[in-house]
Amino acid sequence: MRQLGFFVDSAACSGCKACAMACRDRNNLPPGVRWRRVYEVGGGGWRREGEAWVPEIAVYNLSIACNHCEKPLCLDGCPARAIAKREDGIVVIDPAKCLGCRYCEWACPYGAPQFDEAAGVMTKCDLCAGLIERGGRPACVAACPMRALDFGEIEELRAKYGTTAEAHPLPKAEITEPALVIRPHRDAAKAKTAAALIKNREEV
Amino acid sequence: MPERSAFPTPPAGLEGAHLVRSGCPAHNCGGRCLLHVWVRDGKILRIDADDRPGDEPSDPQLRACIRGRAYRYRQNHKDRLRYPMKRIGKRGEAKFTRISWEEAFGTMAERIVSVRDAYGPTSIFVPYGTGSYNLTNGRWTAERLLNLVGGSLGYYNSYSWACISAATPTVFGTNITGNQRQDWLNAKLILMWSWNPAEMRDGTNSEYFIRKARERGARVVCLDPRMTMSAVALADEWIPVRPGTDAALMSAMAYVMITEGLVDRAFIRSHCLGFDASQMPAGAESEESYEDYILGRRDGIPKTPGWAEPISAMPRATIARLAREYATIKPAVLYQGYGMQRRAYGEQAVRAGCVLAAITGNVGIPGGWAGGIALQAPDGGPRWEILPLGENPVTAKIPSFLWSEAVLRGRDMGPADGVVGADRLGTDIKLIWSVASNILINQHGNVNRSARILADESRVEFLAVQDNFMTPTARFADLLLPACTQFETWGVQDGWKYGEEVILAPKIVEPAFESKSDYAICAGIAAKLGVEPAYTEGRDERGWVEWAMDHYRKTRFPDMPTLDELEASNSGMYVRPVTEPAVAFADFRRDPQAHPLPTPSGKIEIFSKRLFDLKRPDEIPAVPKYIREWESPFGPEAAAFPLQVIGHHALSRVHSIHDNVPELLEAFPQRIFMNPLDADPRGITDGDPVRVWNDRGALILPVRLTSRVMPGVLAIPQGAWWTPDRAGTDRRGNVNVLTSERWTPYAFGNAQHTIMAQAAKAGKPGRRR
Repeated sequence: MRQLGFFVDSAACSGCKACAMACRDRNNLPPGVRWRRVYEVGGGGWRREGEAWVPEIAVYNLSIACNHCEKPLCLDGCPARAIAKREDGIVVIDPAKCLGCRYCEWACPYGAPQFDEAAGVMTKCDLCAGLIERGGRPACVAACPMRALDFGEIEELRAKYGTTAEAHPLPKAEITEPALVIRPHRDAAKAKTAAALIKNREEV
Repeated sequence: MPERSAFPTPPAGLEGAHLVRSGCPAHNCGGRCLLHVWVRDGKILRIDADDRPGDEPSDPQLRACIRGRAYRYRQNHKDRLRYPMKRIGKRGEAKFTRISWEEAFGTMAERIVSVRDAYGPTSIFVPYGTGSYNLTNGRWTAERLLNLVGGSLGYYNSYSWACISAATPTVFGTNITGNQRQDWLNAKLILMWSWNPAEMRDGTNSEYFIRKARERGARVVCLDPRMTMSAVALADEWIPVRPGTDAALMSAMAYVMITEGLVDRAFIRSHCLGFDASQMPAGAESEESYEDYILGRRDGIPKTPGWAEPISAMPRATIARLAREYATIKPAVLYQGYGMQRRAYGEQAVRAGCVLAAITGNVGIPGGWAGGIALQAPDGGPRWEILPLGENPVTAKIPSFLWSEAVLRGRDMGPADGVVGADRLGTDIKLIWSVASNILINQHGNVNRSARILADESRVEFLAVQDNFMTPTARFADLLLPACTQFETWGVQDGWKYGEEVILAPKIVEPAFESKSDYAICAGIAAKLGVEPAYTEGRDERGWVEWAMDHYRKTRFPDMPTLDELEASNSGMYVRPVTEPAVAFADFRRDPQAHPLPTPSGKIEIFSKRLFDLKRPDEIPAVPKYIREWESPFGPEAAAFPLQVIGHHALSRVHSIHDNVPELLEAFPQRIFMNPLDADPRGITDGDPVRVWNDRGALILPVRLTSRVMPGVLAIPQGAWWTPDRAGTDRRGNVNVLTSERWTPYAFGNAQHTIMAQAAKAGKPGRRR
């Protein structure tokens, strides 16, 4: 079976959110519905050295959409069987079947399923399936001014960018086996000791 | 990738739509990007990215930022100004009634004539403003019209980079001091000093070029009071600097280089002037040289890293390391951003940075960088004005930042206030026509003062505002002229500071409601003034774009297709790929005698005799010096107002544009950014409403606690629309309620980042998020 997925170069991500806005524009997402979310992760503090200030902080960004997991907990948790995994690995929600119970939202450790209040159904990233079937790229990938996003067959992405699929504070990859490759930022290594948290909660 | 098609089939959901490739309606970000606009039935439905194949450094795709990507929300906004209106309440109350265009044109023409006849054309002013960088619309259209009927008071310099544009030529004789950006890939070290291209977009793709340079092995260091997006994504290291102390830090770096023998003595001998006693200019032989200042020979204060540490808040060991890196890892770029020069003595940091580039021999070489404003070699790069303005019969010009002075006391203003082209203005400003500008209220220093000045109808007797929305400035209009957006008229754009392209901005949809292009509005007024034929020369908006394209073909781009050809191809732009990037001062480097600089000495003037002759050494020294700012943590004002406030650029806006777009504010909510070390003693927790105030004003806004801003510094993104409550406290976070109208000594530039304030928790604690 094929499995499409995303690559995010967290080392190069500035947190500019061009990806998130491109996603919103392409998919006509209403306010608050965020198929792609850019998490600002930050922690640490400052040290006085003589009369100087020295930062001992860790900051980086993680642009995360749906990871089209190989073990999608959203699918498992859907009582209406509205969620399916396509042959190409893309996880999709059928709005006609969705009851709006939001179980998938609770099940997904990445916050990918997003509730559309007006429509009363769950929605989420479909990897711009309609675009890539025509040979195009997902809107977020095409938008990135830093060229920090990519997509494709997950095995090809892993061959190109490595196999890392975790970065603090994302969940352990073994939970859902996300079709995701991350190039960690240099600060990711010290994120735990710096007690780094998601700093832009109100934006994601 | 699919075949790139001029007119691709619309994707699912957009059946019946067509694609137009167009420039992003550039305002005054640093970018000029390409948008793919899907249109159906006169409405913009979706915006896609540049899809040109290749995406190589010689010709990278021009990918828009979040603001460009969100543009349809501004375009289709419910609050667009719909009809001409005239004021019915007091000025500033924002009470208006709808009028016809006929009446609006007539009023405008009548007031221009009556004010001109009563006070002279010098009393008429079209202020600085950058709401439209569609080069055949915007403020230029008004200037062109006024020049046909007697002229108007001119201005020079800008709110963006007054100090850097004035100070760079004191060192190099020119502002064309930059290499083309592809040359950054040749650098081994890049110091991003107060420079944040990821947020302010200093040219589309500047951040991408830095990334490419890093991939090629360059070490990148970012110096800034904030850990900016650029510091996170582009730099190997971020080193915080206390705001306003950059010149101290640069001086200490020079101390390390001089005392450790790391300066490029040979280059200094052959190409520079005023470094030490052996090379002082005639008439100043015994004056203080740069080396004298750095080593403290005259003032008794060696500018050691230990001296700079308490000033800059940077550890002395870090300063020394930075100096050694910059002096030995070559070639190196010290890129000077603009935030550090919108400050009290902004000229000094600019000159000090240029001098560091000179004494390390980084001038005129591939991978190096001379510093200063760094307009692009070889020809200065893009043009920002193309519409022919004609001749202004009024020769007098004021510094752009001093318009409020010219309202209050223009009649007595002369060269001491930066007036050029006249010994005295002889009149106050009595009529203001603000086109695509929100300077008057929102973006000038000290909003509350500006509002008081403009509310007085005996001073400015007539105030016309031409814009897309009811901005804080528009609320003060006597006559409100609804301009259409740049998707609704023809236009053309050139790269901003960098760019080897001309981007078309075709008319994509009809103007909303009764709005008109700036050009059409001016043509309507021109008809009332009897000068329409001279104004239009028979051209409509597209006709002027055609004229501009011909002009570009004659000047920068001889191979550019015609407008008809470009339009037929639906490519949206013409680009000249850069395969051999130009290097500023390469000729001068090779042979300084044959290719002298346009300075008085022909050399790099570390000591400026011209500045020396001004005889104001305390504020305008002949060699770059650190001068304590007039509002600083080291002055008595710090007792009441201990916090420095910087109004940085944020991605939610271009200056004040887009502040009414909820989709952008959802992405980047307006917040006070504060270090927890400043919050804790004040009992402030994350998300609390916080009041920030000083002698000039106050604002209340939720706070975001973050270690990304250094202790002692508050960051409040500039550009939020001034929204005072009944007590006069701004509720939207316009940093200009705190800023000052005081200008810098040499450039007459704005110093809006030089402010001190106090902060406290306001009212009930906010909900923690």
